[in-house]
Amino acid sequence: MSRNAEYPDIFHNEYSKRLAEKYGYKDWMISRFLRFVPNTESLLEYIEKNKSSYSEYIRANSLKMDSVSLKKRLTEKGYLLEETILDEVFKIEKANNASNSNNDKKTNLPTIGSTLEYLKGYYYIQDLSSCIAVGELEIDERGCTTVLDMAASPGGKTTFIAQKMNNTGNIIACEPNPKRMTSLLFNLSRCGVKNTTIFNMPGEDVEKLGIKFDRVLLDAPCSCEGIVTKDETRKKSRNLKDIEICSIKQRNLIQSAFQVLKPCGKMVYCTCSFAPEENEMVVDELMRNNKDNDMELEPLRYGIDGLTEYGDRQFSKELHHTKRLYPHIHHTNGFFIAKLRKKQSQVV
Amino acid sequence: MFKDIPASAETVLKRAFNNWGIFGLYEKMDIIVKQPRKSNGYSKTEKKPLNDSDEKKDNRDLQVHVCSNRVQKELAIRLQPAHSGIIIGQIKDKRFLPNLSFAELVVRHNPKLNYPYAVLENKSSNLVMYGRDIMGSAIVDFFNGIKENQILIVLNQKKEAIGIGKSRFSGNLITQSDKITIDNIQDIGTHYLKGENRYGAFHGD
Repeated sequence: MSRNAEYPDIFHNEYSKRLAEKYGYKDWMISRFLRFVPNTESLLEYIEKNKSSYSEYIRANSLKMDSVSLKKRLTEKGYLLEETILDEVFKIEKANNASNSNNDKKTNLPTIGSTLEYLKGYYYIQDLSSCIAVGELEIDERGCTTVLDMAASPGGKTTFIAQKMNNTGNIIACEPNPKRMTSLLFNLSRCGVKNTTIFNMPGEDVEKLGIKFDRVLLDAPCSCEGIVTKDETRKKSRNLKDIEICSIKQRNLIQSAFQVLKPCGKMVYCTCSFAPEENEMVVDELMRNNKDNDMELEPLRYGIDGLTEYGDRQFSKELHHTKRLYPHIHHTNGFFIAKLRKKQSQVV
Repeated sequence: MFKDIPASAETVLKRAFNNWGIFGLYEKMDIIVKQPRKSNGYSKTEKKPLNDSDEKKDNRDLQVHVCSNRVQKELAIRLQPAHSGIIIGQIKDKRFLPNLSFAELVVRHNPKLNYPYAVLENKSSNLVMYGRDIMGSAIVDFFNGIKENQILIVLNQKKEAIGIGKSRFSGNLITQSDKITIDNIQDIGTHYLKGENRYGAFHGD
């Protein structure tokens, strides 16, 4: 084992070098993956095999059409919809490979993003992992009146939250980048969402609005390592500095998010990154800095337990409640989810 | 800038709801309007004094937003966000110009189809979805009282709104073959896809 020339803190060996060369990654990425991704070579093999036909999911938008009717309608058109662990979400089978099929009905199928049903907002193309994260917010239309989506564009999770709230209550969506507002508006409009108010501001500034929230979703901007199946450039386009920059941003965002949460409110923090610096470390630091001791991590239903140590860093034991999703195990994007609850303050 | 709907605009909007056969829905809605920002020759810090005639001029061009509830409406007026609710059209020079979200409201709440509409056969529906004007031969059903230059809702055979058009002819003349009889003003393809995600297509969405 030797030190990486580019990043002296990272050790690599012949095995990591060989994998990096074989699958076209930067060496430091593989060296890191070997430390926390279960069965790393399977992941790399899975990504390689599925890069042109990765799992594609759609979520029925019950604000416009229920999932049973949607399934019936798309099936009649020739799409194959497979049920998933979530009622609203379907895996689209072979839609991308339709032109290779011998079945005549399938050869002329438009892509799933250009059907009438898509344009009408009957469904949203969204990875299962994202839907799981929103599901973990435990939104019910009677109990949750105010929900914050801290980094909202392009609006997939915002529209799912609106769906869970049945277009009642209030969603506050923050989006700092004016260029990304267009896609957010497009998706809200297409999906018939009317309970959302959008602020063109960084999530860190949300306290200035003077609003407290029953639920907060922080789908933090990240290095996006977990979407490498869909975007091969991620194999080489990022460096450790990017992870560090993201990590700093995420720590600020999560701090602000927790500040605006009501007592008994719940927050979901998620990223589509594998990096512990963007996941467990961010949550761990929030917990360590929480002097009021009014926070607890809640268990989640799907995924592999989060890390409780990384290198020489020991995290809070509670972090095993967080979950990691991997493409080669869960057939989703690489994803991290943590659910935090703010305890009721104790009056002495 | 978001604000309560001014009385003059409210009259225009109520009339439009009535004309499209959904008047009963108006009172149930929390509506606000947004004035588009425009340069008036004054700097950001230097405010032009307002008078009655200025306010009337400002009310000539308003975007109409429907909110989910009163709290959301008040929040928008108080905090002036970038966007709130769903846009259903525009009030311009005392006329309401509906968009596709309004068309959807009409279709959902007026199942008797007593409003200006044209139903298209399947192949033409697909073409219209992406910007084509409508040939008379494509129309399989239409509102009997259709007038020339009238705004109408374009439906597919499942009676779903796929566009908004403007008639070139009245009554039966709208079905003349080999002629464009309805101009495509807005269709779901171009309306939505022009704003489709070009940023962060994969970012965990």
